Order: sequence, then structure tokens, then C-alpha cells
Amino acid sequence: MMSMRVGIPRALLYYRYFPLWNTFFRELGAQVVVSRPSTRKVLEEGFKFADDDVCIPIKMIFGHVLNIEDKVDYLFIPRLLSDNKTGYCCPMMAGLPEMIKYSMPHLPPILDPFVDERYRGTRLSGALSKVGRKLKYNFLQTRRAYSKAREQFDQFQRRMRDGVSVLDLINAFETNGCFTDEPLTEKEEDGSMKIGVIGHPYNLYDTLFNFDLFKRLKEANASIYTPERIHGHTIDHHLRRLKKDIYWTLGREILGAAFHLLESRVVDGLIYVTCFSCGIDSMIEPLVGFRAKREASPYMALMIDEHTGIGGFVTRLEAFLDTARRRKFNSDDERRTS
Amino acid sequence: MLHIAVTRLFRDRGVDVILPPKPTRKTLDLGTKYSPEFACFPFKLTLGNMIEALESGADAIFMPGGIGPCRFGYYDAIQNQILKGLGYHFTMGSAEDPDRLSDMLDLMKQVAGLRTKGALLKLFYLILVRLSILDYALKRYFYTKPREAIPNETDMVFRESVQLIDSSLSLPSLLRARLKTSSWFRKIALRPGVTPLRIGIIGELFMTVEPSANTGIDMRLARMGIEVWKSVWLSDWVNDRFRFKPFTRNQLKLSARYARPYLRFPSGGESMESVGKTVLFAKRGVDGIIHIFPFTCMPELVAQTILTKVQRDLDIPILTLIFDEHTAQGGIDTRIEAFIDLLERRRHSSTFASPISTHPNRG
Repeated sequence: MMSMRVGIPRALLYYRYFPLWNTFFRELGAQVVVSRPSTRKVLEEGFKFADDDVCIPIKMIFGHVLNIEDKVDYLFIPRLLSDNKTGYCCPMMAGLPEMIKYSMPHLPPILDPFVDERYRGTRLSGALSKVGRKLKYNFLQTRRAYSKAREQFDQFQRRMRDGVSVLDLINAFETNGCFTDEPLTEKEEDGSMKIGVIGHPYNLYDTLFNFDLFKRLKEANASIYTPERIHGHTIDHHLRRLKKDIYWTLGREILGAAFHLLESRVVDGLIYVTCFSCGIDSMIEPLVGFRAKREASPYMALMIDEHTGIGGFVTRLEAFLDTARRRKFNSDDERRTS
Repeated sequence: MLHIAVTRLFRDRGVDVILPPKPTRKTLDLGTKYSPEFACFPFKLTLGNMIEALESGADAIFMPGGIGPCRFGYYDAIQNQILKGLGYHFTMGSAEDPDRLSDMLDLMKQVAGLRTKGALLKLFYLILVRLSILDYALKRYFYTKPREAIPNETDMVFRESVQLIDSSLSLPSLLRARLKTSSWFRKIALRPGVTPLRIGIIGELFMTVEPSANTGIDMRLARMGIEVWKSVWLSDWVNDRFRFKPFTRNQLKLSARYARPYLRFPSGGESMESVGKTVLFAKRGVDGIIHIFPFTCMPELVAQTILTKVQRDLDIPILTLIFDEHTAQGGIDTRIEAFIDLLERRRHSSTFASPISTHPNRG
């Protein structure tokens, strides 16, 4: 019998959970099919089915689903209401399986585990074992697969915190099928500048949306700080003074990371990659903006939508890097003279 | 409606309630000026309203907060910061989680300065009762208006009953007011044999409830001779959470039951109500649905995507109206008129008469 093929679209929470999902299905003996990296064409395919007003990452996942729908037996699109004891995800994530199911014809069956980490019955582990049971695996098999998957996921998170770029990690994981112990990138020496890049992972790491942002920053000899590099305790510490805690898990990470990077003067400049019509960013971005103003740190919010062109993007990035560099050398000079 | 329900009660308890002037274009411009560019429409309108209230001398603002996937819950924190940044001195009271009774009572304690829990509960109950009677009057208005025989009689009755409800501050007098409202509306002469077009208004709570946000669309539809059914009512919204009126149906559960084939898990905001009530309304014989929400509203976009499927399955026309600070009444009117024409033609061309149905808002 041919092994079952499970499709995972390369969009949205793929950039956060892929090692976990992949290991889980592989351990169960299924074949995981990932859609091809994002291109303009994938996005345009997505437009045909997605609603006009939804944000661009959602349109992107429609394109990715279209990319793999005829190659798989099942589509894996989890429904994440909350992936943290206190936090929520975006409302779109909670309605995503239905949005896809009712907008596109001829889809293979969708595996849509309901994940709500706040309650015992709907934790990720339980939700995934339900998926396993639906695929006719017994309890023990799914448990074992989940613990293996969790191991890989923990390693993924540890590596991210060590400062390995998420894209490198995921690429290595896709070629090897697991994380190996050898370091992926040689220990990078400190660049001439440190730039913080924050935003939702699916905006930051999508190869179409980020216009090789990370490569461009590397070429400008900057070392990069992303929210994944910052420890949970640090984030908690910086958000403690906030009047009201942020209840979006990803938003909370972004804001905590931004506060940490700005206040501890870790970075010489901060870039917020956000997408048009994102409700969470629309609330978080002003808060980051206020703080950056107060700390007098160079700050740029890059908003992407389907009309964003590479020209405007690069121009703004270059201008920003120039500002950050000048600011840094000026302040270095001042420090030297005083 | 909320301000009518709350104001007199608090004034009666010695709190000086300042009602900000009715939101106008200017309010919205003020709000837009100081809001984050991509905040949603209710944020901008409420911020503008707050500024106007502060200008006219308020020193405390109360805004329900919340915890939920929708961004409404974080309004109060950011509005607070913006207003402080503008140099106003005030205290901001907000409920941590409006779904929890204790937090709501805390909020009221800050406003009314009451000490005992019993008094707070009583006040809260009174607000709820006033809200539900006001909603009742509005429901009767929506039913009677398109059927009235003498023009504008319904408007007069409605105005009078709102005044009556506004002036009744105790439970017995409120109950009397409800009975009176009911009998007044019953006395209105109806044109016999009229079956007006029925339109269901669904969507986000604030946009469907606040007339200055939706350009008074429900009242205008009623005046055009259309029977309006609404999916969310403020009193139901409160009652679904606290069940102070145990014999009233839990509307959220009702919507969830009808939404189940399409949307099994709530995705925040009023998405569940929007999908569920569309199915319910369609089954009860509504001619068309108008879906209202602010631009970039996340939960309603989920609902909208799913509604495209509902629309096909149940063969019901849906008009989506998205509001933001650039919305002008002219554009909305044109679209509504076109939509009504479409519904009328549909009704006449269909070979079978519209199904006889019971009104879900009555009884």
C-alpha cells in the first residue's frame, strides 16, 4: 500500500511549527508534501479564491493550498485559537479551515485539529492524537510520534534562540528530516551594525514578502535580531510595566522583543515588517512606534501588501540603513570624545 | 441605546454623567487624526467621542476592555495612551474581561461609588432590564413601521416609549413601562395584507448597534417600508454572558446551533452570530441579508468568507457593507436601493409565495 500523503502549505504557522508537524506525520509513516516556496504566481492563484479584504498571508495560504491540493490525500490546516495558556492567535487562524474549505472547490479532506492551549481537552498533544486516530493509528503510535515531534520542536526553538536564522533551520530540516547537532552556520562575528527585525513569522520569513530582507541586511554587514532570539523571560520582564497584557501570543512576542531590543540598546535600528489590514499589527505597531520615538532609535515599519514592489522596498531599506549607520557612528564618536 | 439605559440610573445615584455630543463627522475626523492609521473604524469613532467628552469637562472615561482574539479588547489601553499623550487629565476605567461578572461589577463600582455587592448587582440588573426593554421597543418598531396605516404614528409611539423607559428607574416602573409600550404598539393601526420585504442585518456588534457608525441604516430601512431583523442586540449580548434573564433564549447558543454546519468553533467577535443568524434568518424567510462590519475587521472577514458558501447553499442574497472613515451616506444609500430593487424583483419573479414564518424577535 502506498503511504498516505499529508499536505502542509508553506504559509502562516508553517514558519513556527513545521518541524513539529513534519516529524509527527513522518513518525506515523505518512509522507509529508510541502508546497513550493512562495512566488508571485502562487500569490496570484490565491487571489482568485480568497476574499478581497483579508490580509496577504491568508491570500498566500490559499495559493499554497492550490499548489498541493491534487498531490495529497489530506490537507493539514490546524485551527489555532490559542497556542499559549494566556494568549490567543489571530481570529483568522481560528476560522482558517472553514475559510479554505468553503472558498475552494475539489479539496482533499482537511485535517483541522482544534488547538486551544488554555483548556486541558484541546491542547496540541491531544489535538494531534485526534488527528492520528482519524488517520487510523492507535493511541500509542500517535503518542510516540508526538513525543518525537516535540523533541524536534524543542530543539528547533533552542536553535532559534541561539541565533540561527529560522529559514536556515527550516531548510536544513527539510533536507535532513531532523536536526543534527552540528552547528548550521559558522559562528558569525558581530557585524558593523545590529538591526532588529520584528513581525509575524509568516511575514518575516516568506520568501516573497521579505524580498531577501535578511540577505540584504547581511550584505550590509549587519547582524540580525529577530523575536525568536529573545527568551520568554526577557519578554515577560519587559511587558510587566504594560498596563494591560497583550493577549495575542505572537503580538506579545513581537512587542516584548521590540521593547527589549529598544530599551537595552541592543540594536542600532528596528524594522517592523507588517502586512496591510493586519488587526494585531495595527494595535502593536503604534506601541512599538511610541517606544522607538521615546528611545530615539531609528525605526521603520515596512508594510507589505499585494502591490508592494521591490523597488520601493529596497529604497526604503537603504535609506533606513544609512540613517542607522550614521546615528551609530555619531554616537560612537560622542562616546569617544566625552 | 446604551447611553439611554445608563445615564439616568447613574445620575440618580449622584454621578454627573456627561454625554458626549452625538458623534458627527467632526468626531470621526478628530478620532481619525489621533488614531493609528490602521486601527479599525470603531476605534476611531470612540476615540473622537472620548476627546469630545473630555473637552466638555469629563474627568473619567469608562470603556469595556476585554480579552479575546478581536482587537476590541485592547482599545482601552491604546486609547488611554493616546489621550494621555494629548495632555488630557482623566482616569480611565475599564473592565479586564467583560465576560466576567466580577470585572463588570468592579467597573461599575468605579463609576457609581457603591459599596455593597448587592447594590451593584441591583444596578447592573436594572441596566440590563432597561436595555432589554429598549430593545423590545425597537423590535416592535421594526415590526410595526413598515405595516403602519397612518404615516409616522409608529415613530411617535416609539419616541414616547423611549421617553417613558428613560424616566422609569425602578424595577416595577420598568415592568409597567414595558406593558405600556406593548399596548401602545398594539394600538397602532396596521394596513391589512401587507407583507413587507424582510432584510436581516448581521455583523459586528458596535457597527450594527451604533446609529452614528452605520449611518442609521436600520431606521432608514424601516422608513423605506422594510421589515428589519437584527442578529445582535445589546441586551442579548449582555444577557448571553451573565444570564440575568434565565428564560430568555441564549442567542449565542442558538446561533452556534445554526452555524454548526459551516462554522464549528467561534473565531472571535460576532462571527458565530453572523453565520448562525444568516442561516436562521434564511430558514425563516428573510428576503435578503445586509452584512455590516468595519474595514479590516478580522472575525467578520472570516464570517464573510464562509457566508459566500451559505449564500450559495441557501440561495439568499447578501449585501456586504464595509464601513470606514471615508464611508459616505450617498454611496451606502445607492447600494441599499439597488439591493432592495433586486430583492423586490426576486420576490415577484419567484413562482412560489414567500414562506409564512414567525418573527424570531417576538415573544
